[in-house]
Amino acid sequence: MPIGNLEAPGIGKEVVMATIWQSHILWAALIAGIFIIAPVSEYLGVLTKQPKYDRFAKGAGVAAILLFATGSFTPILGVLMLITLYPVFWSYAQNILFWPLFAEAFMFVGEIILIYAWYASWDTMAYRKKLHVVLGFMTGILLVAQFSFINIVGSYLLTPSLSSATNVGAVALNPTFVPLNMHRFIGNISYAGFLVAGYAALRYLRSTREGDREYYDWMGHWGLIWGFGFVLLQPLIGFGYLKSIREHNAAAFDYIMLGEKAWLFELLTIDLGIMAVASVAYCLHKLRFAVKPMPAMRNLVLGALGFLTFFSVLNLIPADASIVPQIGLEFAGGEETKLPLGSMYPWKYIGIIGLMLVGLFALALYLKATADGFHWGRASRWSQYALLLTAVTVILTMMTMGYVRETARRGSEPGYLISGCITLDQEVVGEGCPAAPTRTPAIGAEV
Amino acid sequence: MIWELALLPPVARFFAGLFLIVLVAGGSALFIYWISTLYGKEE
Repeated sequence: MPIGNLEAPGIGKEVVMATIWQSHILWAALIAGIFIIAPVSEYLGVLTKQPKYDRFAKGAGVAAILLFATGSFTPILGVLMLITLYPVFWSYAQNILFWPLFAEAFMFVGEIILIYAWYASWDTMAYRKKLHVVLGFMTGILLVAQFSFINIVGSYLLTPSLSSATNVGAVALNPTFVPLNMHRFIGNISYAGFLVAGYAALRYLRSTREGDREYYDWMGHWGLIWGFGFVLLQPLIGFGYLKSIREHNAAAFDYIMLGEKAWLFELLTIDLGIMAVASVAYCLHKLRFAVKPMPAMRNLVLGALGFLTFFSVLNLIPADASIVPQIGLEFAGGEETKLPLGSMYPWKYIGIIGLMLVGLFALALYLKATADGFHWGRASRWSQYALLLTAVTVILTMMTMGYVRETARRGSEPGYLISGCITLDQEVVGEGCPAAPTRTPAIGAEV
Repeated sequence: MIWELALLPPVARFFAGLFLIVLVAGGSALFIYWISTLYGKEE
């Protein structure tokens, strides 16, 4: 009996997949990122004896438990939908990727135990704090392992290994696995940092007690350091990731960078520009409340904000007048009209490298001011709106980047679920599939 | 297939997906926020 090719009426099964997995990653990445930030905070609480670090870490523990239920419900639903809507693809994927998925299941069990244990043992292990910190870091490492295993799946679909599908090592270390994993590791921390900053801003704006205002003001600053600090590394690592996509799946690269989906990177540069400008504007505002006044440093950060805005605008200029062809957003002849300052080389390289360097400069100055401390609880409403803006923008960035990675497999006709191997209609293609089995030569036969 | 006839145009599906993601992720965010406000309260 052939397996039916089911469709979800109206929206189609691709939208079902997008809805489930995008919703999942928004929570899963937050949990993975927060379990790097929270144990570090708890340990800093031990080292500095400042209670705000412990308060933050415990709050993050409560949040993680609440988030974990939602974060784990969606992938269960996702697997159910994969089996139902993509039975041929999923049976192949399950077969090829058995070991990473098997390990994934065990990571999941480990997380359930450790996330809850970390929170539940907060008071009982109050006198064995360092051991408790270790428990937190173990949870973080388990989460890193978990997303590493699922990154094998994600990267394999775009760039299947150049060896047989039964070669477990080659499947795991497929061409884009390592750069994707680095990109996700840094991205998760940055994402969680910005969301912490956004949440803190909301609570700060609603706080009336002095103690709460001081705490949430600090928490916004703490989240922003993680968010902005790590996002500055992303363009460099993202460049490495794109380079490996170009080397191993040129059609996908052309589709997302030069083809009809290149507008997604326009969207990304808008997001990156907003996050960078809002973060440095926040730092500039905060420097007004430095315990040790630093007017010269503030002027330098003001200059950095100007340069950052300039580089962000440079990154925004599209390569040609065809911006979003899918909705007819084109002008002056569309693709034929090349725009000045729009080419990747040298303008976008200048823009991206400039953004990173100026951002690092501003962050370094801000961290220097942090060493002497700030007067907490005096931040303006606008500075908190800047934090909220970074939080909303980082969510949009995650959604955009997730869409980029998945839609890249449409780059080569007719569009693939596993690039070059299984089409979107679940037709298995042998010819040209790098992981297709090759004939094993008989012993003694000439090869 | 009858299913394919019932599909919305690609751009409409894109925005339907965007709306659904915001609905699911945003809805669960609101739920988590609501349930966190009950944290630590005695009955």
